Amino acid sequence: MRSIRRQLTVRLLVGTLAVALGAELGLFLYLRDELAEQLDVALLAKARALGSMVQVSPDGTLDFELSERAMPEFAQAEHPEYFQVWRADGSVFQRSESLAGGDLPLPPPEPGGHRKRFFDMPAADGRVVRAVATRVRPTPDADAWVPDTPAAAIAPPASPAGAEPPPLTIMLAMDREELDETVAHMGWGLLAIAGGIAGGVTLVVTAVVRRGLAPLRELGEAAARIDSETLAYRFRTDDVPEELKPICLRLNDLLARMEETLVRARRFTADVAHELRTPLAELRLLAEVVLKWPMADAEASARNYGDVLAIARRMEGVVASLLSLVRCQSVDASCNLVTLDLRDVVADAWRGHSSEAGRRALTVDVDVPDGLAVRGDRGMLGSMFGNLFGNAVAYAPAGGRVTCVARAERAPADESRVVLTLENDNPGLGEDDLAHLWEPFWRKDAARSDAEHCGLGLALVKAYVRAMSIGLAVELTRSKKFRITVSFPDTRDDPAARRTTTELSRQDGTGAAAQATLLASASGRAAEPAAVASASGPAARV
Amino acid sequence: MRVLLVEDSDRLRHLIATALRRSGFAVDVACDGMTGLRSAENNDYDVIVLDLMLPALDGLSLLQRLRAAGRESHVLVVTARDTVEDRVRGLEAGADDYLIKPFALEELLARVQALARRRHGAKSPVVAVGDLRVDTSRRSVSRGGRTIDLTAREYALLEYLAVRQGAVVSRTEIEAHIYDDRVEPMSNVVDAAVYALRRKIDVPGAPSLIRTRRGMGYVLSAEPE
Repeated sequence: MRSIRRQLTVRLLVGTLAVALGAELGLFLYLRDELAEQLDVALLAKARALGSMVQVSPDGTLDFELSERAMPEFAQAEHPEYFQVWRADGSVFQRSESLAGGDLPLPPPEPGGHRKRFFDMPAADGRVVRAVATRVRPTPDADAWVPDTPAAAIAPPASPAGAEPPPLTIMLAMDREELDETVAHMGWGLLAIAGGIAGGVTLVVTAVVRRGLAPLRELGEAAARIDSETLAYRFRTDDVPEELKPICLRLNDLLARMEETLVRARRFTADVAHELRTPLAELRLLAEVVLKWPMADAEASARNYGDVLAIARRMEGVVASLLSLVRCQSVDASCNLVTLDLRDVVADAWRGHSSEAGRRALTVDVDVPDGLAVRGDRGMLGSMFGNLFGNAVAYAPAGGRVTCVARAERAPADESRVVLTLENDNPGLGEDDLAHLWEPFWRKDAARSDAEHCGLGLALVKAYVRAMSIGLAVELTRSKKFRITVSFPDTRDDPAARRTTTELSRQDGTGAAAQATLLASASGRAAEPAAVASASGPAARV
Repeated sequence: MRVLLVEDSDRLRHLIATALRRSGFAVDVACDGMTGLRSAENNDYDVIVLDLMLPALDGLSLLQRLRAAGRESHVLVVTARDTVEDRVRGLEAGADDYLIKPFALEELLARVQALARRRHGAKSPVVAVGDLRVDTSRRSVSRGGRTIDLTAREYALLEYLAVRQGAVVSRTEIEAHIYDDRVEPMSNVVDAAVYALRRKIDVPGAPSLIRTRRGMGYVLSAEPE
């Protein structure tokens, strides 16, 4: 498994050590070259000093006087520092005693004509020595030679007397063992320092990374402890690093949402279970009673079967409502939006409740003008109004009034919309109840003794309006009437709406009136009701 | 034994009441909390079968008010609420037992029976009066090894006398515990029932197990007077 701490530690260690080792290597090479250069400078200076000791007599003979006091090393046999001087014709002019009779190879002429050349070469004993070869022109006096004169400018050695003497080649060699030892010691020292740096960096990086990532580790451990039973946990945000603060805030937000969702899901599940328990208990008890005390008469059997059927229908209704709710609430809920005549939709939905309204002696006023085009899914709209009308009829007090009015209205931003208002008496409903109306299984009557309603109707209505992007609002009027307002968005830009309106008008033979209503609403004038139906109970019609 | 059933579901109320009556209980019913509370306050029920989610007055409030009024009837809560919190709340409010819907009929009857026994201090399901055995769990009666067939009403009367054996049980108490609101006992209905019961459980030549205390009531006892 990838570990940020491990990766960070390894990368920091590798990076830091690479930088440190690179710096040490650079330092080592610099010091090594510097030491070698200093050796070369010392060699060259000494070679030049030796060159200055070559004197030319007036008869042209060369003389070399070595100052043993100044350079005693050359007078010692087998001293690791020695020189040899060649005449211009390549013959050996002088050797140091430290050469112990040995012979140095005459260095080839320097390419480019430079007078000095540094190089390493093997000594007779096999060791590597550092050498410099340079050409000097002996002069009668010490200031006569010009060390840096280009080779081309130097006259050949066989020049006549009185002309410039031919140049001599001096090779000075020095055992570089001391230098190599110094370089080696320096290298080992730097390597030891690198080891120390590596150890120190390892400790520091490990500690720093561990300490630096501690808040992240604590966050991870806290997150790992969270399960479905501990969703109430919240991450601390007051003393966490700035980089983690947004994560903690976001996690807290997600936890709050998950907790709310879980609570809602549990409540929903409990509600579903509760809603099905009572009919299940009825069904089971009915079966057990009949089995324990069989009833001989056909009337009792028929009554029992009727009960079974009623219970099954009730459970079927609950399950169907639940399935509809789940379908509507799912992300991929699709609805087939078409343009419909609101009057037809309302009439179809009302049909299923008119008899119950009559039974309860309700006064029903339905005022939906002809030709009001609305956009929605035919099935969803029918179910939505069916639920709304069913609630209005069920919860209005017997002998009360239910009013349904639809109008085309001008909305803000110069848009036209269709607004339907459903109003009924509902003395049992309070302001506090309005917030709970859309909750699945919520019922004002906590006893749930109403076997006809399971409390999913308005939850379904909410799901429908969301799916169809329809506006919905509820309120309690000053006269304590419960009012639901359904707002349909503007359909003027919808060519299907215009076509449907025309078709509807043609079919109904009320084209002029219907179009007049739509035009009036579109232009913002108050639309006169095209039709007002007021009836009581079964006679109610749109 | 007399039972009050408080349940708002018409169908459940009817079915439970039917099952209890057929099992020999006298059953009164109430469809909401307020009616149930009034019945419980006005009658001495052996067992109250109580739903929690009731209109007018919820079951827990009914229970609390009943206990506050000093009523000692044993209460069996029958509800769809199944969480531990619900059960604890119900028991803390004064319930004696808790049954979650849906339930098995036999379990309901057994629990009601057990609560009714405990109401009169009996723990064993078999009550012995001399060689008379009343098995309250199987609802069977035998004497000297011979099984005795009784009607539901006769069995209820014998069971009530048996769980209170040795004590004088007044006619009013018998009426209150054996007959429910649906029956309007006539003045001699208890005497007639006792007479019929004596004929079935007594052994010829031996003294009757049910003795009459004039002006007071009846005593079921095997002890000689």
